[in-house]
Amino acid sequence: MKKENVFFSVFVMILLMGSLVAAAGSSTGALRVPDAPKRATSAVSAEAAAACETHATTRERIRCRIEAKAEVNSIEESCRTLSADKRDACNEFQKRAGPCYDVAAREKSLCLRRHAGLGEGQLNRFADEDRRKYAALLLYELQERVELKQEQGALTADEAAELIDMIVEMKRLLLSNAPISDVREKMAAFKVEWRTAMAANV
Amino acid sequence: MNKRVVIIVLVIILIAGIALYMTASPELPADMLNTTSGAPALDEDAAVFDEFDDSLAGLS
Repeated sequence: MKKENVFFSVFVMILLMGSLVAAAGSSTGALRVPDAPKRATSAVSAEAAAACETHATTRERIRCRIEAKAEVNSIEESCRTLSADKRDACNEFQKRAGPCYDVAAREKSLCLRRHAGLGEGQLNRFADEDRRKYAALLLYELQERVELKQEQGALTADEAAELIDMIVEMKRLLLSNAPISDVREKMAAFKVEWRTAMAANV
Repeated sequence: MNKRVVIIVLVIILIAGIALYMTASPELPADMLNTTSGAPALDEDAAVFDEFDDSLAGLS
């Protein structure tokens, strides 16, 4: 084969392979959305976190952790009122969902759904308990956003603590099988607080 | 046919294909993602609230 023909054949093959790569990306690339801004992790001070445990109310403990730049362990907060065995399961369930919050927006919902025992599509075909768990995981996503906004200066520590306290309460209601009407009532109040806080700090 | 012409035509086809892919990639509408297939993108705050409400729809 002539040198010129070899060059031509290689060039055409490269072009064809390039086309195949572009085609393969289309099956997933179109739905990909950017990650939600990831919260910067602060150095966890074990002493500071432990000191926050001395506060009497959930909100005070949350505010203390925010101000101490300690990891806000709201997961534990939402599980605290459960019985011992349920509390451990609750902690473990939420802890294991951690990696889901680090993936992109759509993958995140899929990951959280799978973790709660749900699949894709309409949610009302899944078990009530699993849907409650999924809702609790979504609340943690909101909490991450509150913490991020507080770190960015868009929310004060007080505002963030109040919002996270409401989130913890909703999670507590969900995971203890409280009536959904109570959760909806809390969510309605939360949305008002959320919008007010966001509007005041734009 | 001159090979140079063939190469130019292939390059043009490739560029046109990429341009078409970039401009006309279909994106599923949000309502479709929320209901009939897949799962929604939790990018905006509102999307998280909507998904939360959907997750509890019909529960008591």
